[in-house]
Amino acid sequence: MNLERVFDSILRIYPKPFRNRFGEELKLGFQDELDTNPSKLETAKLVIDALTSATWERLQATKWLYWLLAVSVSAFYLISLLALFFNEFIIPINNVSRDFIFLFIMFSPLVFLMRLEHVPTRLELLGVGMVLLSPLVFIVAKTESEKFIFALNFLSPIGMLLFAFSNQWTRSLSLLIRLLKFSLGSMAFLSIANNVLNVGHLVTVGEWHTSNFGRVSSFCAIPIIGILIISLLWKPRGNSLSSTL
Amino acid sequence: MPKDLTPAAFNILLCLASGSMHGYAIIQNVKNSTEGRVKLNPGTLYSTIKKLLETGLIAESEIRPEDDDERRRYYALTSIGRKVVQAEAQHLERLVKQARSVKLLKGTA
Repeated sequence: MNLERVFDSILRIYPKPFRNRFGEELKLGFQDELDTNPSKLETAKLVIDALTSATWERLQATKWLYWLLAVSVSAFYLISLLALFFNEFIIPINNVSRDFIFLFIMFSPLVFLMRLEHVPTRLELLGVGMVLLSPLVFIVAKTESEKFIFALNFLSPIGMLLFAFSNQWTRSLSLLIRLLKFSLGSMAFLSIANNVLNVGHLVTVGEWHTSNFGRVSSFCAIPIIGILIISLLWKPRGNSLSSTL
Repeated sequence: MPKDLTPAAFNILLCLASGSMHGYAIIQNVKNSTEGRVKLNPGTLYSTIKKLLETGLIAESEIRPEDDDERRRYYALTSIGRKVVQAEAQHLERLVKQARSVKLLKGTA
């Protein structure tokens, strides 16, 4: 598939009003860029930029996605919070809660794109990286309780991410969203604390390497460390002096 | 800087302060004036242009070279846009002075 066709396909992602208004100019812009014979890296950046911009415009055109996301986030974290307080095994793990988890895995990259504006912060990159690792939980974990614990472990960064993302919501939306922001943040930190305590307990009783919990953690440790390093090395681009300050 | 004025938006406004331009010229101008440190891609550019048009900081310009591609649209700063970019530049100037006064930058405060 040649690049013109790729950009034509991306153009179709833009909402119709945007396409009608800027479609021709965008085509010209892509063509101008390609005419300068950019490197493969530059071309990849061009495609990613076009994709994120198109998704961003598309998502802005469908405000209901924000609400769907906000409602599902609060529902999931409410379940998590209840589980943390009343011991996670009291709440039965069933297909519904698993669906919630997959819903999050599915939605988190979209949230990232919503907030992206082409300059991801280290926190966002770290959070998204960890979220993308979530499926590993379901590959390695054997029992339902392990899956649940690790789902919390990996999904807690979503809380942090949304805590950061929700700045833009609080500027324009109501007290309800401010409360949602606060609850997301606190639940995320509770979830992290829960996992730290779990790991601490396993290390203390010497079951780190023998338990499935320890096995799963070890399996996930290497990519997490990798993502941590990448996130620390990541430098947001295009910042003006004032935004850096 | 208004909260919604992103670095990309500021760069575009700054660029249009020198006169009306079409999209690709803005990309080139920003790239040259920042010595390649800021590279706007078409996706970012037109998303930002859309926002700036909506907020009335820029407007489509009728002034254009006769022999240019008709598909290209030219954009120019509005009077509000000029005030905003001026206010931001003054804000940056104050910050630079402050940085000089604490010897983070060379020169006199």
